[in-house]
Amino acid sequence: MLAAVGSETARAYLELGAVILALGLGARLSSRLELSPIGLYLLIGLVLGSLDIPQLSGDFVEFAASLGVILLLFLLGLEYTAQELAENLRRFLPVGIADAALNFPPGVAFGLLLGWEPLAAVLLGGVTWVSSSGIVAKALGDLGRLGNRETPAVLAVLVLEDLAMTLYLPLIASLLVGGGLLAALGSVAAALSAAAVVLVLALRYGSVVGRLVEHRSEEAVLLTALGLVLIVAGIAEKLQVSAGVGAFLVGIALSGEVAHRTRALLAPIRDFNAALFFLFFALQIDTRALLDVAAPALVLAVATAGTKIATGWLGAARAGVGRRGRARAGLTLVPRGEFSIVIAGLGVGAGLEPQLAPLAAAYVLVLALAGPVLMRFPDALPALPARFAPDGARGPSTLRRP
Amino acid sequence: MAGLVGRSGGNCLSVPDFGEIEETPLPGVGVRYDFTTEQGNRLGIVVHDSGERELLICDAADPDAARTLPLAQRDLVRLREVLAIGTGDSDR
Repeated sequence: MLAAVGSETARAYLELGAVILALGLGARLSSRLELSPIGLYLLIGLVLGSLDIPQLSGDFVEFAASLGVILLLFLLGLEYTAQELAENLRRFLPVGIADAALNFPPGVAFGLLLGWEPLAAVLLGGVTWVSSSGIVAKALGDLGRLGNRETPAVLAVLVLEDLAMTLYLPLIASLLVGGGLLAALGSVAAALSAAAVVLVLALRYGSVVGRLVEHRSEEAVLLTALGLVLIVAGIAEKLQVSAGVGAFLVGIALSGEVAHRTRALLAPIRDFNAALFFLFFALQIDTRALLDVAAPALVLAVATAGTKIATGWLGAARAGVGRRGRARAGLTLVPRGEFSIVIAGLGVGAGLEPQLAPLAAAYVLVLALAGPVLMRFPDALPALPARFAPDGARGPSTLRRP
Repeated sequence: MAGLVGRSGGNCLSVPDFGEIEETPLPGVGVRYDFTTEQGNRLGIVVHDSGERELLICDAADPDAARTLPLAQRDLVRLREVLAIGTGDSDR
């Protein structure tokens, strides 16, 4: 009896170890090719999905994957302070609205065109709406664009999308359990009040939650933060506000030094669980279904790359940036990633439209891999001759690109 | 650092009241501090939330773009020394 259990455990370790090792190789490859690891995790999941490894459909991977979503959102929330959110909301709200108006409807329309039920189409709208904060923020640093004038507008689009998710995710969560529109509006109202309370508390009373979490011992901070996030996520899930939104709000409430420490401590756990989340999502996709949706995914990717470029262009123009900077802002926002998969994952969990998952996976693969290439494009263009350059550039000490 | 860099531009060595230092929050990244030089170039630093710093110099061909240079702690010390040479503030 004991031997049988032992050999089963050994098998579980071997299988999980091999899979995690494969993810590690994917991460190495993505780092070498300067690509987003999300795309490679999805690819690995698609390949492993056809191998039928029993451990991967077990409870452990499923739980780790859902924890991955919670931690993704928690750490995203940790990056922002309530002040930053309020400031961006005030300055860039029209850009956020344009972003939603340009990028949400194409997905919905496309889903309806494919003959999907309306709710699945609304989820596809979410998939096309949200840029990948992870890919875009990292690329801005890697490409040395943090000093550029269009960068605050680009970051504002990311911030406002994340903020919009605190309303969109509860709406979806509630519609998915079949509560009807009234219940869904109730969920949105609950999320809105929770967000408002968190923002006001954080703005007025500083870091109340921070004092709760802060401690000189790293272990104490790690375990307190993790426990707190899971409890709030659980309550949020129970209230149909969506666990991720609860986690995001806890992240907002934490700011300052303790937020940096918590982020550094939880980042490795997030990376592990998020990798399993992308893997788990891709595992459930039938590879043959992927071929069927390849053409539609490509069409949708091209169309919504265009609408994102328009979004960035408008946002940067509003900030008074010239044409080159507008083009940079637009192209930088093209990649879709973690949020698109989180949204599609909600539909998969609820057993919605079977084409949604393969379409979202193919779509994210295209844009997560092509996006970072596209965003380098403006730098490759030859510089404008000096006499055409705007006023600010007329100084005799001309700094030239190498 | 934020205390050193006021909005008054008082940090500019011999250029009184010229080129106010602008403070731009970069949510999720940090804060950018920059000013416009007499010749019309933007010059400044990006201070990351993690404490890392990058020097930024605007590109004359495109005033919206900047070239950035990561600065380690010891680079900052050297830069301060280099800038102080000949201004009377130098210790040398």
